[in-house]
Amino acid sequence: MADYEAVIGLETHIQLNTSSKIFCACKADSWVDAPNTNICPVCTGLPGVLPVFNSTVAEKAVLLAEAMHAEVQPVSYFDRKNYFYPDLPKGYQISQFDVPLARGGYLDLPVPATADQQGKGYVRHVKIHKLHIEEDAGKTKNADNRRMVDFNRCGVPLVEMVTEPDLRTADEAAQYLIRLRQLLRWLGISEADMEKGNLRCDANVSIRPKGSSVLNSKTEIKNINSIDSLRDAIRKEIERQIHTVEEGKRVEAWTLEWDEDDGVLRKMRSKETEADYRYFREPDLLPLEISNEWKDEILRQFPERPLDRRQRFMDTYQLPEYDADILTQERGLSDYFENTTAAYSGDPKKISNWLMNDVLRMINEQALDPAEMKLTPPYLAKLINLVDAEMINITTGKALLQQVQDSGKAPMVLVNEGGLAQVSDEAAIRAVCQKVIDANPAEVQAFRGGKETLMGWFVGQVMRETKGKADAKAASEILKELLN
Amino acid sequence: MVGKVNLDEFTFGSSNESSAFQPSPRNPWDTSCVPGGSSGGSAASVAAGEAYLSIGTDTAGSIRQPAAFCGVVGLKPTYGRVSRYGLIAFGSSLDCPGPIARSAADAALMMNAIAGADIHDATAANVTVPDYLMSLEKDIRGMRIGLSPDYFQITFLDAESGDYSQQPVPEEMRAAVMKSAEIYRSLGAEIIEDVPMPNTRYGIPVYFVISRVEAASNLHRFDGVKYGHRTSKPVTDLKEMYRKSRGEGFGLQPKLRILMGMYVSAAQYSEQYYQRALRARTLIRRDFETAFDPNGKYQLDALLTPTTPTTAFPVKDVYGDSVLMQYADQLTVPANHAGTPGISFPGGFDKDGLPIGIQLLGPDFSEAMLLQLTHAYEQTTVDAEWRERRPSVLEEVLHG
Repeated sequence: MADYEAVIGLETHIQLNTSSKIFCACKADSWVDAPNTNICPVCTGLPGVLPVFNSTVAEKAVLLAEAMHAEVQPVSYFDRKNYFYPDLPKGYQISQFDVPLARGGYLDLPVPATADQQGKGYVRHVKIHKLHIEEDAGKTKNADNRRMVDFNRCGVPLVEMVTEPDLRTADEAAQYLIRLRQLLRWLGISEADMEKGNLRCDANVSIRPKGSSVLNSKTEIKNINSIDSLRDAIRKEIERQIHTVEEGKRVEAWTLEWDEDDGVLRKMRSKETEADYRYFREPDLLPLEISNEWKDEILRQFPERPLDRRQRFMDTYQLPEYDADILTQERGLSDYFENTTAAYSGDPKKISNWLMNDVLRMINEQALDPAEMKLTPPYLAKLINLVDAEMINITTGKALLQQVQDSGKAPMVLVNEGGLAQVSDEAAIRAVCQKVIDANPAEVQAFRGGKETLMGWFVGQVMRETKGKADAKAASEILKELLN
Repeated sequence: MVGKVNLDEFTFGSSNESSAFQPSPRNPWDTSCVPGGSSGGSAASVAAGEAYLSIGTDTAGSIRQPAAFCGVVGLKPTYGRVSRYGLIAFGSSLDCPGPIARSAADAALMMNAIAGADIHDATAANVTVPDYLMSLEKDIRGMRIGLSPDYFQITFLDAESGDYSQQPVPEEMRAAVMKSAEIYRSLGAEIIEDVPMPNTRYGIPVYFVISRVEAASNLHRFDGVKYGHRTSKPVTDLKEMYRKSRGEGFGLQPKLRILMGMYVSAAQYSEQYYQRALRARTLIRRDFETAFDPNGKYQLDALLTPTTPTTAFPVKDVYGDSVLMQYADQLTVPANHAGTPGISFPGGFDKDGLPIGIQLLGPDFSEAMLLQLTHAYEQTTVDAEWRERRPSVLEEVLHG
């Protein structure tokens, strides 16, 4: 069997999280709303109405273009994409065709070791073929032998972003979506929830002998609703294509649909000829002009890109890739880490440990926004400082995290109020140790008889007596001395 | 509102004979003739004294041509001067709503009410609206009014050979325009002759392509899914529902225009037809820019032309020949391509007693000046014999 490689391109549709739709004032997000409740004459295409462009859409799209290193065009145009479908009330979709909002662009995609057959990890350079603005269509469904149409989604702003066929494995495709989703949330321009259809993906897949540069006929996979589905669907399609070629047959340019429930690909239609959408300039809208001043204004608060920050965390703070990856998954968390680091003079890795082991769990379990936490970065830094200085022991420190978060009080205040300072005074600890030994003669006898594992139990008793404040190490030393 | 008026179906026509509501309107001056179109009902109703004002839309001449045929004033404003919101779109890049009235003053009144920016129409220009009524009486001395030989003939394209052939406008119409030029000269305007408008001849072919591409797309929404006619016949699938609904719902003209629009915008023909038409449209616009250029050779304030190649034609004379019908718009359509304003006003009658329309074309946002020039002509000819005439339908009412 020859060695094959896959050639994969992804076409993504990204719903921007503007409050109103792209060409009218209707609410854009209808996730919880009944069908046909967020509609008006404009988004349902009544005769006589005209679209009016929502400039926030351009602002969000420009942020994405910048993040992808794409070149924003000073003037771009809207075009009509003409086709008939019940969910498209005007019979054409307002989109952009030959002069889109942005040109070029790329994403340097880190492929982790777990997704690398060689087990090493690498970076895949993925070029962007197209980035433009358009309006979403409605939804149809079949019920009681009738076709129902919901126009709520009509006019929700979309960015269509298409990659070049630069991806080579199903894992790379999945990684691309993971990074895109992270980026969209990082920029705050889309909820990017695939289940809700905020982020949708079609995959174009073909195969060729490894090392070849030809582009063979491809299939298009539609209806992919999650990152796992994308990976599964592409894997299955690559296998199918290899099998087809090995049988001496030709791969045909089909459109396939991913059946989520059965985990199989189904043929939707043969794609013998490209549909003719008869594109032409949308006469109802003016050209979209993005002046340098406007662009500067939009990009004034442009954040560091997540992958750039991830690399910087590794370079600047000497964090392992694993830590840097987790800490930069979400922009708020990465800011939190960095703000804590700024208030802390020790090893940043220590902050990373606290965050990943404890604070992140609090954030997730209690659905906290790092930027809004009462356990502020300076408080966390102070708390870690207290542990470092052995003012409190680590158990107390961890318990304090939640207390600071609940009360909003400074760690030192809580330590003083609760008398939580670690007892490291040797005489005091020795007294408690003696008390424990006196009260438990049976255990003492067992210990002396060789059951040394009881040491842990004795230390535990001392900690209990001191309400966890004793310096456990010191207690252990003293106990050893008294028991032997 | 006094009432609704008839028009060609979806404004597709120049005679009102292609109205979905039959019988179609007739010309109040001679009921055996058409009132023009597409805003034929608007022009006829004003001419017949049924209303002071009516509104029309002008995509190739649909305000000015019926106004000329019916002997009333019709103003096609600059593209974007009047919002298109509420207007069922035909050729979205060409459509201009505007007033049809009995005088420049009435048209000015209506313009005061309808002109200006609109938050519902992105293409409605954010340009200050003057008081059109206030500027009517201004002096026209020193204004430069042009005459172009390209507007005194009709250029036909031979369907077989592709050759152009010319036909002059009837002498009576020419004479009426020349007489108006004399009037303007007598009022102190300067008449500049032989202004070349060489791309006028492309107006109709270019319009044929652009308007039909836009029309076909604009009519997509009438698909029987959410409003309008849906077939009551049984259908087995979606495509059949579309085909039957649209087949039953649309009249002949919409069907012809959809077919043509689909054809010339198809991927394999678009470069040959649609893209070329867009380039030719730019040339037409350039003719106007050159003529009106304040630093150019001609420095015109306005161009004076006949509105139409003929006066109103008899019912059924032209109907059925979609191409020939379209040539009724040859002298009006260039302003739609250019997006510039034009006005048609009555300038006498031909030997059959049918009104002759005179057209003034101006640069962008020059409606106030066009109304002012029209008003000046009206004031000067107020005592003319032909001003005494009344449409035949009114004579019948008045004198039984």
